[in-house]
Amino acid sequence: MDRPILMVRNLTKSFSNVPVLKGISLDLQKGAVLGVIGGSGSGKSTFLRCLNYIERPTSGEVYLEGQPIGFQTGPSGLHVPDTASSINRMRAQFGMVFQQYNLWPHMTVLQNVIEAPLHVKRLPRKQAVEIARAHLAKVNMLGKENEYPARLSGGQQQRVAIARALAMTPKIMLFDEATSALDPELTGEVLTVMRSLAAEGATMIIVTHEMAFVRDVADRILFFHDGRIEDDAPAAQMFATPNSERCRQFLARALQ
Amino acid sequence: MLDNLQRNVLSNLDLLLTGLLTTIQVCTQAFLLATVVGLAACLIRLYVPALKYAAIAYIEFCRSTPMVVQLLWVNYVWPEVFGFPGTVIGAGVIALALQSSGYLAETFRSGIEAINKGHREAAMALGLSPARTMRRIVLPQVVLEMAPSLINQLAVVLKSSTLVSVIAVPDLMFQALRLVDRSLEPIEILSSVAILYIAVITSVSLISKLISDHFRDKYGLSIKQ
Amino acid sequence: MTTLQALGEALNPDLFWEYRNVLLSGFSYNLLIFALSAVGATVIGMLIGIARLSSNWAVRATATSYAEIFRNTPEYVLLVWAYYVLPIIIGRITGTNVRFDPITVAVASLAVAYSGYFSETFRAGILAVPKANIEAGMSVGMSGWMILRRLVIPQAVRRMLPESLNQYISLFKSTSIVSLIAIEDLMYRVSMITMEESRPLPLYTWAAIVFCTAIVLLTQVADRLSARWRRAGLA
Repeated sequence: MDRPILMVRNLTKSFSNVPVLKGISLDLQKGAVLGVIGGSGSGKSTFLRCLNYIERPTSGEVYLEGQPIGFQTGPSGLHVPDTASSINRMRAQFGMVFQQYNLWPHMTVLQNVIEAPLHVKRLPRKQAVEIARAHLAKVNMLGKENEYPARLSGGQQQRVAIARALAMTPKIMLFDEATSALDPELTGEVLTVMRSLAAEGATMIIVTHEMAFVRDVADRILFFHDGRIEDDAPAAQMFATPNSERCRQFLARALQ
Repeated sequence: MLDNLQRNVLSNLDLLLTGLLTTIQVCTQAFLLATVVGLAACLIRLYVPALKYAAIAYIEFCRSTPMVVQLLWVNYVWPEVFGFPGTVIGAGVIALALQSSGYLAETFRSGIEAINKGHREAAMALGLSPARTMRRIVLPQVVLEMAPSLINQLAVVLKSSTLVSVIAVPDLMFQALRLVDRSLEPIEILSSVAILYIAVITSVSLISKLISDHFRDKYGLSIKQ
Repeated sequence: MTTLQALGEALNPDLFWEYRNVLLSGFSYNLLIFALSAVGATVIGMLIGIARLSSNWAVRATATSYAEIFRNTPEYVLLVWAYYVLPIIIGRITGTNVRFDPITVAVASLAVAYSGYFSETFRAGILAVPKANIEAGMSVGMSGWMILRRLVIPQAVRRMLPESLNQYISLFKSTSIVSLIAIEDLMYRVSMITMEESRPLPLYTWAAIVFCTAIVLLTQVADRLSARWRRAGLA
């Protein structure tokens, strides 16, 4: 088996001494689609946000393709925190999609998508625009390049946000409850986009409440409870015969 | 009535016009100075912990001292203690700017704090540096959010600027009062000047409101006036 | 004088303290004018605020124009106009020789100037009263006037309290302009003493310090009160 694309070792996070993540370890293979489920407050969103260092983990390590995120190993073998600029560079290798879309309201759709390719990757404008159009086409938003986000529906905004993340050609896509803020009739269009990404072989971690979707799309599912991974199984097995009683109850309630 | 208007106002139009130009000059300079100083005070308050309380003290002093008091203080005390300003116009500009910079610092702060945390996180997630995030994501939104308040503050500066005549800055108000002194016929002069002030200040406020409506519509920002 | 000497002179409180009684009696004018104009501004503002919500088009337009005009009028211009021009106009209309005492002019000008702001606060307060409240009043057969007096105004007043406090503080600051029509308030006396003693540095500096301290303290009190009202669910 290849080296895992993502390795997480004993990750913890506390907010003002309240532990939210209590030691998460994980290996993820390239091309895998990982679903993360669990009740609110179980730590699943914090986990996602610690991976790309939007939240600074309290302890533990994250490696992307063998490269440590957020620290370097010093000559003595001790970990020294990484510089802010190198954290920024590493961070861009994760694409993140937020619950609230977080499109920048003062920029048009196109400006939102080309901002990071232009100024983080320093691509020439022409190339950045080409890439942006290709990804906007993929999420079916071509033709709306010059609209401001305020004029778009929630589903359209979220699709643009996905294109914005894809435009950086990230190694892993992180979805943080990407459909939770959407009206039910708009979730479908976003899930379709995510489904086609999975089919193309993208590596994805999907935090979600959409049980039917995650069962369908994910290869493997983690069930979070109280800051720990309580259950970890292939999707079909998780839904058919969950290992933990808590997970069984959670699924029973969620699938009602 | 028309005779009086002719004698008191129209025949002195050149004098009133130079007064108006002085008013415009003083207000423009004070407003620009206040914007720069106010932004600096706000950024220091938010991002320089060592100087936070100095910034708060400055902002509170500016907001809490009446305009007339600041005007006389700057005009009579500053030249001795700080060696400037050398002219009454300079004193007028500084006093007006002091007053407004305190308010603007608070306006900027509420603007920065109102920026959705998620917008910053999205920039972080894409690898934008903090400096670039500030410049490209936060400040443009602050400017859009603040544009109506900024323009409104210009209206406030215009209003307060009438007081600089007290230290003999030859602004519109000063020239009007001088004409009244000379002619002892205040009705036409003071009424015309009052109407002019009200018209200009009302237009500035109106522009502020229109811009705020437009931005709310275009960018969906939650602009409050 | 070196900079340091000048600074020492500016911060020397002796002269200010020596004239404390004169200055304090000047300050009492600020307080008196503040109290009277605050009452005036509140009453006028309340009436205009209600009129701005009238169902009668003409009443509404008049009240709205009144508020817009006076919100955009410099206080000093209003004060000077009321001091020099108004008596002449009234005199011509009534055919008598009218003279206004400066304090009356100051109180009236400040009251009118601030009534514009108060009307806006009051209007917003009334609009913030939930419509369901009014409908509930109607459903138990209360008249329009009764609904206004018993349901809307008490709630609106509570909602407008915090903002009104800020406006009262602004009004208090504005009382310093009355010296410009020769009312012997604090700043007027500061200027007089300065002329007599030829020592402007300490007087103007301490006048600024005293005003600033007083207003910072008042603002603190206002903020505390507002926070308490908010906690108590009143505002």
